[in-house]
Amino acid sequence: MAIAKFLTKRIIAIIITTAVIIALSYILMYIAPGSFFNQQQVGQQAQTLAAENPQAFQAMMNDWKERYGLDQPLYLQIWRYIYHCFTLNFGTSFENPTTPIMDTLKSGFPISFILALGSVILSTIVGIPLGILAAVRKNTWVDYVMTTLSLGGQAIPSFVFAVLLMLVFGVLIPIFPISGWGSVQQAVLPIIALAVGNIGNVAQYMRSSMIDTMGLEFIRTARAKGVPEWAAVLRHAFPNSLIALVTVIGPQFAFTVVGTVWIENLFSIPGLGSLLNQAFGADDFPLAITYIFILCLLVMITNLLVDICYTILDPRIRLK
Amino acid sequence: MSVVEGVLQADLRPKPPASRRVLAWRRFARNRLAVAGLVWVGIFIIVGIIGPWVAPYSYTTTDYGSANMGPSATHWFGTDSLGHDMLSELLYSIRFACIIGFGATAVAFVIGAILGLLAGMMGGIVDNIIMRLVDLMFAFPAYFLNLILVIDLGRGILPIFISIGITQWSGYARLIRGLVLSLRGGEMVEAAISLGATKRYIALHYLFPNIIGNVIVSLSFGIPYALIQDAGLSVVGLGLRPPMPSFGNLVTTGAADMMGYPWLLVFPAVLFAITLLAFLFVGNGLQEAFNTKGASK
Repeated sequence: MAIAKFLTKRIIAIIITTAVIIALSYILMYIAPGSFFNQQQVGQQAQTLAAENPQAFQAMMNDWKERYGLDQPLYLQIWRYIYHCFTLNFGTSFENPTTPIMDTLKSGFPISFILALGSVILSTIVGIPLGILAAVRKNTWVDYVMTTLSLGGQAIPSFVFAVLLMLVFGVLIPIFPISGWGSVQQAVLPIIALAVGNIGNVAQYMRSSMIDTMGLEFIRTARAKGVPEWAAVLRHAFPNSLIALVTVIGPQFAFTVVGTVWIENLFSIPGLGSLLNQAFGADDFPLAITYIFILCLLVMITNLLVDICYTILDPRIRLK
Repeated sequence: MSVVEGVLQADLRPKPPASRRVLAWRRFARNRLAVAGLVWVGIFIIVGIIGPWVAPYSYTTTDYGSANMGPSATHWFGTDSLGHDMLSELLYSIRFACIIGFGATAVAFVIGAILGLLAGMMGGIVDNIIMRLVDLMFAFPAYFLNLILVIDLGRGILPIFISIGITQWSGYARLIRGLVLSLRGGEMVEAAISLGATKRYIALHYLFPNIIGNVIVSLSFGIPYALIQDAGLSVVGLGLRPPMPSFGNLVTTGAADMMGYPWLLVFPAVLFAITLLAFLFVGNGLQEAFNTKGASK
C-alpha cells in the first residue's frame, strides 16, 4: 500500500509542477516584447495585406486570434494550454497552421529518443568498466588519468565535443558524415558527443561506489574464503555498487535532454530540438509550450522511475 | 655548518598554529591540477579586463578584402567570412564571458542567499513556500526557462546574465538554508553565547568561517556552469546578439564554416574547453582544500 500512496503523491506533484511550469512559461512568453507577426517573413506578408486590404487583414487577424484563443483573457489562455497539454491535444503551431504539432512530434520524437537512449547506453557500457578499473587500480596512474579524463568529460559541454568530433572525424579524417539523419554512420558522432560527459559521470560514480563497496566486510569475508580477486570484484562488489549508480541516471537524463537540443542543431538532425529556435525565437506559443511540456514531463517521469528503481534495488530505503 | 650545529641553532619554539586560511591554501597548493587551473583562470580574468584595449581590431570591424584568411602575421588567428579578426573576436569573447560568468553567478548567488537566509531564519510557511520553489526549479531543465527569459529580457550582455542568474539560484538557496539550519541553535553557537560572545563576534568568528568554504566551492562550480548556459543559448541561435562575439557564437559559426576554414572553430572551441576545465580543476581543488562535501552543484 505504501507504494500506491507514494505513487499517487508523486503523480499529483508532477501534474501540479507541470501545470505551474506551463503557466509560468506562457505568462513569460505572453509578456515578451514582439510577437509572431514581428518575424520578418510573416511580418512583411501581413503588412502588405494590411496596406492593400485593411478589412481582409483585420478579418484574418481576428480569425487567427480566435483560433488560438488570443482574444480571451490571459487566465483562460493559460487554462486552455494546460488543458490541451494534459489531453495531448497540442493543436497547430503558428508557423504551420495546417500541420498538427502532434505530427511534428511523431516524426521528431523517435529521433531524439534514439539519440538520448544511444548516449545513455553507450555511457553505461563504457563508463562502468572504466570506473571499475579506476577503483581497482586506486591511487595509481591509471586511476589519476581516468579521474582527470572523466572530470574533463563532465566539465566540457556536449556541443564543444560535437564540433571537435565533427572537425576531426568529419573534416580532417572524413570517415563519418557530419550532418543529417537516416543512416547508422550519421548517428555515430552525435551519440558519441552526447555520451562523453555521461561516460565521465558514470565512471566517477562507479569508481567511488566501488571503492566504498570494496571496503565493506563482506568483501573481506569473500577474500578470506579464498575467492579469487576478479570474482571478489566482479561477482561480489560490482552488483552491490550498481545501486548508487541508479541515482546518477536521473540528473544525467535531464542533462542529455538539453544535450540533444544542442546536438540536433549542430548536426542538422530533424529531431525535437531542431525546431527549438522557431518555437522560442519566433514566439510560436503553441510549439514552445508543447516542447516545454513534453521535455519537462519526460525528465520528471524519469526521476520518478529512478526513485522507484532505487527502492526496489535497495530495500533499506523506504518510499516516502 | 655541521648538522649538529644546525640542530642547535634551529628555532625550537612552538610555531603558532596555522590559520584555517593558510591550511586551506596549503591543501589547495598540493593539488597541481588545481594550481594550474587557477593560473589559467587568473590569466583569463586579466585578459578579460585588458583584452579589448590590446585587441588589434574592434569586433565590429569588417574587412571583406581579407575575409576567410588563415592565420597570418596581420591576423594571428585568421579572419572569418566577414573579415572579422579572430584574435580580436576571442579577446572580446573572453571579456563578455567574464562579465556573463561572474555576473550571472553573482545574480544567482544574491537571489539564492536572500531566499536561503529567509527560509532558514523564518522557518514555517515561508520556508515551505521557498523550498517548494526550489523543488520546482530542480524539477525541470532550467535551460528552457532561460530560453524564454532571454526572449523577454533581450539578448544583450546584461539581460543574458540576469536571465541565467534567475535560473541558477536554487542550488545556492538550498545550500545557504542548509548551512543556516545546521548552525542556528547548534552547540557551537550555544557555547559561544554562554561564553558571552556578542552577536557580531559570533557572526564573524563562528558563522562566517563555517559558511565561507562551502560558498566559495559552490560559486567556483557555478561560474563555468553559467558559461556553458550562455554558450548553450548561442548554439540554438538565442545567445548574445551578433555581431557581439561570444564563445557560443564563435563555436556555432565556426562549426558552420568548418569544411573550408577549420581555424575559425579550433581556436574558440579549444580555448573554451580549456577554460571550463581550468574552472573545474579550481573548483575541485577548493572542494578538497575546504574539505566540504555536497557543496558542489
